[in-house]
Amino acid sequence: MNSERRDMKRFLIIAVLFSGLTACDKYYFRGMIAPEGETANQRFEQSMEYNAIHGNESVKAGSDNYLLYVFSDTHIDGSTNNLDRFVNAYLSDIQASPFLLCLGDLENGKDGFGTFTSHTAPIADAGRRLFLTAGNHDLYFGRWKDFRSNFNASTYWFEVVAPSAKDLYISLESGGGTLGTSQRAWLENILEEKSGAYRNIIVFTHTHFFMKDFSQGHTSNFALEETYDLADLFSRYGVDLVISGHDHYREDTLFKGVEFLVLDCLEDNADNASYAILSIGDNIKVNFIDIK
Amino acid sequence: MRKSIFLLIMLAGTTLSARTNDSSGSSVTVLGNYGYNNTWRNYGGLDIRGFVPFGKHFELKADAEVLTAGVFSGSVTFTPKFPLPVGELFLDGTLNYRNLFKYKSAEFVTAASFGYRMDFVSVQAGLFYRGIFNTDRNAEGPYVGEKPVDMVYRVSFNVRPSTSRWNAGGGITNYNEYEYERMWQPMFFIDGHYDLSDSLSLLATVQVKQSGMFHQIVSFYGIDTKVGLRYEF
Repeated sequence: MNSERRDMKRFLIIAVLFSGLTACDKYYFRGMIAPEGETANQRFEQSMEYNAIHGNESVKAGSDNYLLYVFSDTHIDGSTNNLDRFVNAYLSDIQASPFLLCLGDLENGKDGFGTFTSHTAPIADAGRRLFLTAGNHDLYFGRWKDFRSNFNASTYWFEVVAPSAKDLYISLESGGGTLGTSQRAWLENILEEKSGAYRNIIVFTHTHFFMKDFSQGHTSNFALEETYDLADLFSRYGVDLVISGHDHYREDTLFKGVEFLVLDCLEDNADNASYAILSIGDNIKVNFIDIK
Repeated sequence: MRKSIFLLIMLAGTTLSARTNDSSGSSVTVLGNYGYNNTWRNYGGLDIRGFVPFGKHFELKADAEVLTAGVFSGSVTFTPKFPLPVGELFLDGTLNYRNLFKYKSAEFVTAASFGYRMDFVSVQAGLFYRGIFNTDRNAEGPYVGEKPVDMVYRVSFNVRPSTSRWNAGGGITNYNEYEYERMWQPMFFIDGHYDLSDSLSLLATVQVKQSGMFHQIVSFYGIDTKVGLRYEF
């Protein structure tokens, strides 16, 4: 019932915002009508420019089975309570892997990524690595430039080297509701080149692929053609897990041999705020940690 | 307030007339298809449609389409309709099957929607359910049922009365004869026809799909064009 009330409240807020009765610095309505800023292909090329100079990273895991922390949709808008709790939990877990994933929508509004960066700084200070991908809230208001200057790239791959296994992680930028043609071609090349050489292939991105319930509000997905195309691509090349956010509500779907996992949000004041700890080994297990 | 009501009545009076359906007899339509989208790139196709009225109150439509992108689609729509002094109400009940054999996937859609069509304006809204099937028997995960119901909608306009020899219009929708997009993935279209004779008409439609509209970072995704002939018996 609470979630229904919350959804209704959110719907009413959006309806009022759409009516133009209030000024809005959280949503970019012009972006629904007119393409602005960099295209998906341009953002991809800019990520590739960074990758070409800095190369792809290799992270060491202490054991073949490791714990991967993943969170999404912090939508920081003033307070950072849930993010701070998450960072503390991660850093105090001695079994956690030395890297973690964030699936986008870091902040609301257009004030840049400074708050997010400062509150996740202890992760880097501890010698650990936060891998991010951009969500739609990280792109509109022309914020891709800001995202790039803070986080460098949104499309890339890295590998995790465990004592007797290697896992491949691929970050895709889907903040615009599409991969675009260049990133799609790059993805297939990477999968063709690398599948078979890794124990697990894990893809992480912002936009989710399926929607099995009413949880998603007013946000869009991939076009159906792209949904089927990518689901088939992942299946053909043996991708084990695709992790997304965007929906704000957890969902776990197995389709064509690929597990599609959607995370809850980590936004403050969300009733269902949680993050996930994935146990990565020969099999992948998911454990959601609710933040009360 | 009175002025607004008066303007609404005037608007209705100038845009509505009694005749509402531009197909009174059975017909067969054959359309050639060319499209481009970011996933399939260039593709072509063939689209065949049949239409049979049953008296004044029922219609049956059957549609089939094959695309070079590796897609076969078919649908059947049964439509009870209720003529009114101005325009008519109708109820579309549709079964739609789409096999994306290139991707070893298929989907099955059941849809029901109410509509009200007039000469110049037509509005339609309802619900649909989509089940997604894995047709690759070697892969686990055979089926995804999308959310229990999603919304289907269509708002269209024409520039001339439906009895006109030629007409043109456009609108916004999230579905067509072969594809039911999710609610937050609207498609825009323009269409038109020209009656070459009493029984033969030339038809054309252009549909544009954008990606990320409700991500608020919209971009062009694809365009689909169809041109063909309708023969009315």
